[in-house]
Amino acid sequence: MSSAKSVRLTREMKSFWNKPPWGITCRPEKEDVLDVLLIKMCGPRGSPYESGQFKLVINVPDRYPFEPPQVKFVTPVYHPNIDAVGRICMNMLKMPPKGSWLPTITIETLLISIQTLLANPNPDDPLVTEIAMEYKYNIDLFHENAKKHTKAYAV
Amino acid sequence: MNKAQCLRNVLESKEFNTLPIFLKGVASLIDGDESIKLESISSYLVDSQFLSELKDPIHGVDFAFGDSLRDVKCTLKDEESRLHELYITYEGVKKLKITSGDIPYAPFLDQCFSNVEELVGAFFRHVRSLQSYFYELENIDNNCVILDPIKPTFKDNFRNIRIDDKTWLYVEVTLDGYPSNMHLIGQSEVWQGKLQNGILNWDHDKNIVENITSIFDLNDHSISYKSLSEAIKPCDAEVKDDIICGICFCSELPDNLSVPQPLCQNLNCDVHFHKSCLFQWLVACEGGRPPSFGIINGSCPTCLQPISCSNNN
Repeated sequence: MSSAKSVRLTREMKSFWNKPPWGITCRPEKEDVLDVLLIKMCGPRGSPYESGQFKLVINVPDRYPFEPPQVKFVTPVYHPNIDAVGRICMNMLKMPPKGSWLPTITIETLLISIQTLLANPNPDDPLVTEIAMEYKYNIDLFHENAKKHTKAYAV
Repeated sequence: MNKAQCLRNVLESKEFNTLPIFLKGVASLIDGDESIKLESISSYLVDSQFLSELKDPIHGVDFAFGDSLRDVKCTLKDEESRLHELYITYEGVKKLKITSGDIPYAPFLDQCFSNVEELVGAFFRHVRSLQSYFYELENIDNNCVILDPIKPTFKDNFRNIRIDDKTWLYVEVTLDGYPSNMHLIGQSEVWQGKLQNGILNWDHDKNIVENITSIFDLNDHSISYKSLSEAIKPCDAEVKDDIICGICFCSELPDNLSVPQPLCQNLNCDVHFHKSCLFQWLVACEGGRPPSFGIINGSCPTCLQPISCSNNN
């Protein structure tokens, strides 16, 4: 592991564990190796994911923070911007000029943004078109499906 | 093996290059018991000529031995009673090398010397020729708040001087004691204008600190100058800890000793970066292509305003 990466990750994790954000826990897959992080995230209150707890996995590349971490949902999520294998469509996870990753973003801000994305889907830049259509034109059905899906996989 | 052969073997073989091993060899010759703790004596063999050369100070240079008789520290006090140190190693008969020292680089530092006098002579002449260089650096160190290098020595020929919270002045001092490559780090059109003017009206009869003070209209209370440095010094450690790089989140980098600098020109952007971190990021944004002229442009990772960065130092 490059030293810039390990020093920064250690600092980030220290402050994360000191003051964890609401409903998010984070632990390394192997103790003391911060390359792979396992996340548990509660669904945001007031959203159809409210009752669920979602698992995510973060792979931190060697060039971090000059490259964004790779974040994936392990728990299946019914969401316009998250596909069946858990890939997340979010600008912040991509390098500029296409994406908006910045080295000043931390794992913590990233996770909070993902939590926010759960509550506020972006149907105009969808990864799963059918769910996006449903969200746009039949929001009640979307809520019902998302709730059912959450109950089936994330509770 | 008869005794004579054994004796020759002990005296000539390279295996017996340290005193304990040598004595052990001698002891085995005399076939007495080896109960004397030879390990307690630690010394590398040197020839007596080398030792006799070190007996008397040459050009006022004092000598002191280090870990072994082969490592010698030379201390020279110059006319202004500054102390300069040079570490030398005895590598063999008539082979003296310089390992390190607190003086700026000169070709003689790489040379191999056959006797102490020759080496000390070169050291002495070098130090004597650098009097104005030492004077200017010492003056800057005593009168200004230095942000980088963290522990300034005469080996570092540059200083980053604090002008205000967001502005640093970079100065290099040439071996003749003249300033060069002076520029501002940080945002401030006002300071920039003053510097342009000041360089044109540089007063060569005054020293660097006096010139800087008059260029930036700093009275004796603002940059130094004693009052400020005293105000800052007690909490110096805290202040330095607080300034961390927005990219690596550290204040000091493990591989190069530099401090985060206020590189963004946006007055409202309060973030510091290591030059090397920012450079690496801007290159990564360009798909990893290093810039053709050493300077890369992009946007500040914090405020997204235009920013540029060079990869020197």
